[in-house]
Amino acid sequence: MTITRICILGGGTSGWMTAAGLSNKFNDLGVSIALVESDNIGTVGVGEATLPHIRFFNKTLGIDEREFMRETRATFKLGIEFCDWGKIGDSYIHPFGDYGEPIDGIDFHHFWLRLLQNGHKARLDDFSYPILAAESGKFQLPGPNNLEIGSNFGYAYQFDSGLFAKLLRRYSETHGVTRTEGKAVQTIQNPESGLIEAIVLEDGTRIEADLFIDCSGFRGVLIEQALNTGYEDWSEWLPCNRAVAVQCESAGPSLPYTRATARDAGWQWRIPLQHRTGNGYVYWNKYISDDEATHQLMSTLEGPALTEPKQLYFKTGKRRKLWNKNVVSIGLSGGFLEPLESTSIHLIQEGITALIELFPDTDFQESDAREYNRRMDLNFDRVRDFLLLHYVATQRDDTEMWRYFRQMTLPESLQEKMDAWSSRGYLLRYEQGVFLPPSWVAVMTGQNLLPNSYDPRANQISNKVLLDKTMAIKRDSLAALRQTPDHGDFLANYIGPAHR
Amino acid sequence: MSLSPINKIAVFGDGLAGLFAVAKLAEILPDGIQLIFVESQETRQTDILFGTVTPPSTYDFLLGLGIQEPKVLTSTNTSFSLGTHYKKWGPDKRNWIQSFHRPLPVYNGVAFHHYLMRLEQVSPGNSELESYIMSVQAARRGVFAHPPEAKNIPLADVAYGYHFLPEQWCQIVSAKISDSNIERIKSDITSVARHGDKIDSVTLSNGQIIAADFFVNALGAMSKLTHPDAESLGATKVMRADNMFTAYEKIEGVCRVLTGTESGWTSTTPLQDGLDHLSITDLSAEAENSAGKNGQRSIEFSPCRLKKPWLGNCLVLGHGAAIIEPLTTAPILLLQRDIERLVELIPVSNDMRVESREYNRRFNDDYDHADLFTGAFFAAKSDSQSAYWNSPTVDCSNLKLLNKITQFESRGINVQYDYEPFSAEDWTMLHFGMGRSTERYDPLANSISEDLLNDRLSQMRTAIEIMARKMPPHHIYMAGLKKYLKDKHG
Repeated sequence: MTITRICILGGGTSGWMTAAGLSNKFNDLGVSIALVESDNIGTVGVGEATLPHIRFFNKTLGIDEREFMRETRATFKLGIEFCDWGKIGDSYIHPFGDYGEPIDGIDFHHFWLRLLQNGHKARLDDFSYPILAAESGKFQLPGPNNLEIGSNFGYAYQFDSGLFAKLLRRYSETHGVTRTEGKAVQTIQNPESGLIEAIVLEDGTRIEADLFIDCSGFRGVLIEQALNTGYEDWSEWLPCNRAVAVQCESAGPSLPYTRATARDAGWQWRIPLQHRTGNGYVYWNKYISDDEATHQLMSTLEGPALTEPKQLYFKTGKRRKLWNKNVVSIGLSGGFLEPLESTSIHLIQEGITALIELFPDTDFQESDAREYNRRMDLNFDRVRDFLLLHYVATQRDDTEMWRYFRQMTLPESLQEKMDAWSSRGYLLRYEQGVFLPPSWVAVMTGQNLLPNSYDPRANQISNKVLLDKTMAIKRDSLAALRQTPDHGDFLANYIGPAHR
Repeated sequence: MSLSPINKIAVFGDGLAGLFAVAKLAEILPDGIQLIFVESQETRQTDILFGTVTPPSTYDFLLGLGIQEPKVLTSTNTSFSLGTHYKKWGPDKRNWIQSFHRPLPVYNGVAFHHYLMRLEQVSPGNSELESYIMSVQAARRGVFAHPPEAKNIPLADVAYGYHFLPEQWCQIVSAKISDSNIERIKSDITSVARHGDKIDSVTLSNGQIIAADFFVNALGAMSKLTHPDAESLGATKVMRADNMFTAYEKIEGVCRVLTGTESGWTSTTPLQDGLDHLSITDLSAEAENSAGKNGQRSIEFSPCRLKKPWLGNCLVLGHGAAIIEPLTTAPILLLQRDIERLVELIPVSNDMRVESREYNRRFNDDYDHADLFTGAFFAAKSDSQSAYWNSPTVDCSNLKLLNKITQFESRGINVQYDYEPFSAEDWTMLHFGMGRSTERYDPLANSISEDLLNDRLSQMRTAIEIMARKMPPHHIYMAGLKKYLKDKHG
């Protein structure tokens, strides 16, 4: 039988993204969606920085970009700047876009390696327009012709996720989602099947549904507390287990990128919004106390703090089954990976997309859940490897934490990737997963993991042709850059005067 | 900066695999690397196992060897292929055309076949897929024309491969190689000097000693170059391929016709000047030995593959690395992918551990994924007594395959793994062809009214039919094209 009742437990970013995504698809198909949230339970407000995929989510919902940016106080994001990762004093930008362009079907970075290994001083970043734009604080939307250098890149946003949730709540409510205020105190399970039949709120209200989406955060009220699904602990690979976050006044012009700075026992984020800057220190409490972490964070803010520092506790990993019986966990209830590459919101989005495609019936065939879990596991595994890369592609050994990573035996999937890169600049590719080859190139070169050789086919063209081609790409990138306005000016112009 | 860069690559074998490899390497190797081609004559006889149909990607593959389509059409008896017409296939005697086609339309974010499945639930038996596939309709009529650049007509959705004879392609590739300055030696191998996994040199029957940094062994299954301890998978079945050619006046049809038999299958492939007949027989399923008709070439083979085709400094390519039954385009498709994988991994030094590990990983992924596709031709309940149908050479209980079939039958979804050789369209056509029906379809396919849906589908069918009626028969198109090419290029 067709599912007619969905209950989403928990508001916040994941709850309202799920409500909006599902109501957009199922509103006309006779499916009722109820969202239960309590004003008394705070939201974590994961990942204020996003990946370009978020634009597809908004587009599917028909959300106007200008309106969205005004309401969520969003800025444009061209990538992430990583400071002090490869070694103290280093910095590089991981952009949303390719480096250069392939020559005779061979990735550009091989030609760059050829230049480098033959003694030319060439910066790979100079062949990436989005990096150049980010470095000079500039931004414009990519044009329609993605063959042009100034148009061949992706972008994302940095926004206030609380305001995003609010916007999506309004969207969801106009698309038929009913919101119920309250805290779930009891879950009713079918004694035979174990399926959850209803949740009971503090005031005795009983909410029945066929399908439950657990967006209750780390606690996993349904997926874990009720169904005891179990958690796959990845602390061995990604041991940071706490964060402290604070907002402060922005200083200087608004920048079109996020910054992630490596620290003694973790790393610190800086996310510029229109009206403030979000900051946080993600750390491993084995090597730094909460007080010290807070102190370090507060002493490195660029402007006066606007809020009290807020403490977060987590354990990296993922739920053993993100979909178990009639509960699908989306957001922190499904798993947590530190927001080093802004993947939190992306994994929420992947969860929603997969759920829509594999939307079950009331008999909950095992094959639906199995396929959902297979896809999400792959997503999580591949993000994990990419995050871990940041900690291990480094010369740092200046603190206990960095020495821990130096001694780590890597997952084979990651070790193979790094070996293939180091020996010849070869990238192990995959189709299913968020980070494409240019992202791997960005982090590995940015953190000084340089190959010993390159694809021999890159020797086919003569030195002169190579120099001409690379010069041309650089020239075109710089020309496009000259046409690009300052990010702040572009943004103000684009979204118009504030409506409030 | 690499410690000892490689200077010399030697390729052995004069069959299609060796020739393809040499032609490709000749195109892409930089000046610093010398290429030697040793044309040992022991390999061409198994080339019929590459089959007679190529996938659409062969057009680009040949271009990558410096061979253009006009050359292929004017120098060999190659014809166009829109796919394979399977007849009397399997226990249910299925009949369908597995054609080459660009992705089917997606309406409102929902894959096309979900709409057909919706109609199927309203009026069962009324939702065949073939009317909506231009290349199938053209194949049914035996007509052909090149797909145009313009995207708004049904013909643009057609993709095509070739019908070909490996021996004729060997000739054009060999001629192409002669244009470049590759050192060619016609001699057989006498002995191989190796220590551990590494080959130091190869002594030839003409007395010459070939020392190289990297060896490509395309000598087939019995090659002396293959490491004696190389492990292989499969090789449990013995099959026989019988092949013969009958001439005709004009091309008949534009797809291969492949018919299931009690102990295998038999096929006819329309080439420019005649029909190629290829039969595959599972010898353990055959009641009595019927081989040896007049004019037939027959070879016995065991489908199998090496676990690690690249060991040390030697890569095995072609039938020494893998033999698969030419039921689909897989044999030639995978050979192309093997060669493309090789050129991405031309060794940069004498330490080839990274290259061999990655080559072998991708090789196994590719062959596993192709086996899933082949497996889907057999994954049906069979009450046949024949070993061919009851225990196919591929593993039909493979979890990845079960996942694919379960998902399709349960809700019409094509589960995709990384870089599969066969596309979602290939899979959809195969599932429909095998008569797999789906329990459910995407509920979003309900978002348009049935009338509107029927209108749309009817328009699509009509447009395809009109186009198919306008297209010329294969032989007329071919004659016109060849005349044009002759007038233009002489």
